[in-house]
Amino acid sequence: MNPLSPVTYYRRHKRSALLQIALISLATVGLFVLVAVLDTLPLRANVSDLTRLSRVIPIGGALDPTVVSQIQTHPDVARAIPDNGLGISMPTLFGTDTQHLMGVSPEDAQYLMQHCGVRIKQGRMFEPRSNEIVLSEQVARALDLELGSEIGRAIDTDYYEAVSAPLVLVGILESDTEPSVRVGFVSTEYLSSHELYASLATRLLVVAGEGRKAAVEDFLETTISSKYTEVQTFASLAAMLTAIRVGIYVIFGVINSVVAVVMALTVGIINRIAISKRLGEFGLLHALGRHKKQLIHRLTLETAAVAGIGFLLGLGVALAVLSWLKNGFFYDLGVELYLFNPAPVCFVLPIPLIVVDLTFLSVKRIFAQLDAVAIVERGKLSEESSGRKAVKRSSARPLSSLTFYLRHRRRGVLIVLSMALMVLGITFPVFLLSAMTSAMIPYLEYLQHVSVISPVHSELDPGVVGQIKSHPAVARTIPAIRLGMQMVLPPGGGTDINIYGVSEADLPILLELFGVHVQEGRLPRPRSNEIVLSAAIAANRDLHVGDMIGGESENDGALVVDDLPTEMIVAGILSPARPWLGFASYEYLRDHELTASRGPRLLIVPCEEQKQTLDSWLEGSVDSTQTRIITYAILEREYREMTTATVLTFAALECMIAAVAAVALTTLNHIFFTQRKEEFGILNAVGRSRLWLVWRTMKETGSVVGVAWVVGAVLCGIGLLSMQSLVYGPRGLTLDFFSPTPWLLTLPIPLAVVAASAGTIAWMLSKLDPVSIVERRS
Amino acid sequence: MLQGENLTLTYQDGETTLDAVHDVSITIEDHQFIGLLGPSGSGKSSLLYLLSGLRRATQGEIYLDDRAYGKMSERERVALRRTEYGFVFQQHFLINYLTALENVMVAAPMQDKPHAEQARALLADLGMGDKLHRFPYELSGGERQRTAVARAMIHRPRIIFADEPTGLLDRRTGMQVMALLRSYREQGSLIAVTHNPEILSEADLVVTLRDGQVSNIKDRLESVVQND
Repeated sequence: MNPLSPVTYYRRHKRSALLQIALISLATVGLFVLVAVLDTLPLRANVSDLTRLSRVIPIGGALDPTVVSQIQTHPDVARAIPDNGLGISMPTLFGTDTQHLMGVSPEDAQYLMQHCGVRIKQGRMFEPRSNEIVLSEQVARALDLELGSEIGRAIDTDYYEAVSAPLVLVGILESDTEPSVRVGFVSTEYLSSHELYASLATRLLVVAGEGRKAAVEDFLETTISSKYTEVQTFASLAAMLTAIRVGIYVIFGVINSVVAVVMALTVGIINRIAISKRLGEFGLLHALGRHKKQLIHRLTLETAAVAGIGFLLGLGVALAVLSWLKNGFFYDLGVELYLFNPAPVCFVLPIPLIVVDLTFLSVKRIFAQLDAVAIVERGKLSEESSGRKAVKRSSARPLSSLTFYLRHRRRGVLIVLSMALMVLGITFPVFLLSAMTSAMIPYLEYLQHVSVISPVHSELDPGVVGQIKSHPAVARTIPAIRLGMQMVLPPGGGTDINIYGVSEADLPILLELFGVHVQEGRLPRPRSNEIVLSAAIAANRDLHVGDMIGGESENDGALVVDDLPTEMIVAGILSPARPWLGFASYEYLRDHELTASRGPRLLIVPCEEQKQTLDSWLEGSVDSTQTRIITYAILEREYREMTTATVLTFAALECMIAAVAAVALTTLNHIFFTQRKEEFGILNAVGRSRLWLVWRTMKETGSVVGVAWVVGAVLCGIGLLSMQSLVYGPRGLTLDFFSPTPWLLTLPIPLAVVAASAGTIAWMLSKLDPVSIVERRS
Repeated sequence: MLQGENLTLTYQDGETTLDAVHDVSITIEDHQFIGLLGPSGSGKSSLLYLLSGLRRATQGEIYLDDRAYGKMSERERVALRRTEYGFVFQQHFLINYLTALENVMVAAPMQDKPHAEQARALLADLGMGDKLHRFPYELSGGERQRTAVARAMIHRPRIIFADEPTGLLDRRTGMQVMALLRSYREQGSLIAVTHNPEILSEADLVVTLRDGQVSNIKDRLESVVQND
């Protein structure tokens, strides 16, 4: 048996070993689970039907027969199947996700099922010309559907907005090969024969020959993709999801790094304290002929052993937690959670490495001063003075928090910096997230002046239009064809902006209504491909008067997908910057082949003081299976629901990080207080009550935590100002510094630290026996 | 007047019950210097802890004037230690990150400038005027104990309890510290525990303990020594 081995040391110092193992495990579990859960979003690429086939979608009409024939005759294409299906939404970790139901014949469905590796698990295949659907079990489970369940707009507009007439689930599919596949089928004959679905565009599902998927995707991307034809391939989906993944990693990478560093610092300090208690041992070993290098090696090995065990234990617990989540929460959501995903490992691996590195550096620094004689004789590390600097004046309030931290600057700085980093690490990403979600507000603002009705599939019902026009609260109705642009929201998001094609006569009325005017350039000429944009959009997309956008012109980043089928010229910039909106020529869009099929919306201008009445009437009486009502209240409600869901999800993840951080900081704090047991004992002996001692330490913790929070807030403010001036400002965006949500999310850490510190100190003091301290019996 | 009646303090050591103090009665008048003498383990420190309220008696009762410890809450006993009593221990137990002046201020009734001035004057009287702003590790053993004495005196307690106050000091320094403590008799009482009879030469009463019981009470040390 080697008495100087790490095993021997930790067998005799189980509490210290367990504490370090627990801290490293906790950090590993927290970060591993966090990253693994967030990683389920991009992993969607692995379960989509696009992994097995590609889609070719017409833009503004039907697919060109030449294009169809070109695809069908391509030697690498095994089969090209027409699909007039429709989309539904399904819940995901963050909001909803679109799931396309393929509108095909039962024979084609059988072929596609075989190709996608799925078969009927329950129920049967849909009948031709019936309103029946079959869904893979993950989709059915996520939507809480079972055989016989109906879906439709009347049941839930959030998930089934495009399902104007109800569809019935008759079959549930399972996968032979993949753990989770998301597919759904509906009868093409039914859709094409139903008046509400007849106008759905027919796309083409392209199945590649054996081993030819890459070649087919390449052919589709390079030859078929055009301003008339959109191509969706696995490669393009994967590229988009990679961009999302990078965005997620950027945000959470910051938090992870901060947590890892704080955790490493905590363990490093525990080690340092343990080392200082073992100076006698090291002095003796050095005196007996052990070289400093050997001692450094031994201590580093001890830490590495503990860090390794903590890391492996953390990985084990994390996998157990993920397994539990996979079979519970994610199973219900229909999302496949991959347990053996390498990404989280990359995020947690730095934790033990930083701990070991930090310990090595710390030990090396301590041992550089090691003087065996000084240690053996006086219990001091070296002859050199290592105490605090002499003071010129004493404090009149020696027991105040200020005096304590002035005499323990390093300790104070350590706690302040650790917690400030935590606050920064959490607040900063939330601010960015908040900026991304709050970007919807300027987009909604135009709805404070008008209301909108939009056809669900093709044209507005003339009866509904007549009904609206004759309503006493309606001052005017303006037909408008919608195009879309996207605002880029750093670090990796985008939000839709409406570009309305309105007539030359209506445009000045709308500009006056919205309180905007042309700041630069001019309004679009009738029947021209010109647009005017609000200054914020122009700044965001770096567009100037005379620039070309849309069609096949270059996009601004992988995440920006404009809905501008034709090339448009920026003719003017509108001021003020809000609301975010753009206008084009109604006549041009109505006549252009790529936009002619877009059913016009109706912008409804209310009579004075009648907006509320109008919106209530529209929401209550006009909404139908064919008409979508868009009012400020509806979109604002959707926005609130979305932000609440996002904030709640983030808050849940946040709590996990806060728990890890609070445990680390509280442990650190507790260790510092344990070192002061004698001080507490003597203060109690000379007449300071336990309650007073708890209150004093609470004040100390509270003050340092408060300072840390302020420092974190200042750092965050500096970071946000930099982001605003360097990134967001040039993009025409304004970060809302005074939004309370990000700041509220920073509170759990300091509160947890203060509460946990108070609890542990009160517990420690409840067992304090001053006599045992003055008698040195501890 | 502090009065202990039939005091017993019992410790549990595994399955064995030990009486650290057994049926001891003692009365300390105002401005008296009482010495508790005895070999190690005789129960003298335990009796001091009982009288000062640091320990609760297993049996018997202690009265400060007419206030019985047994009827006091923990909080009241702590308040008593803060206002009425002062302590000097064998080790100085100074707080290592506070200066000599600040360590004295720890026991002051208020932490403000007038009390700081009072502490400064007290330390100067004890010969520490030039070391007010030194940390404990910058002081000699005697200086540390003198600081501890000042801490015990700053709030002008009625009784100072000194537990082996010279135990870790050389003879000369020890005698200096005892002289300082004795000088307090004009303001209050002093109860000193020691196993060294020499430092009790000026005690008004010397109580000798053996195995937790009073073996002798004498007015003068000489007679105690003779009887022993």
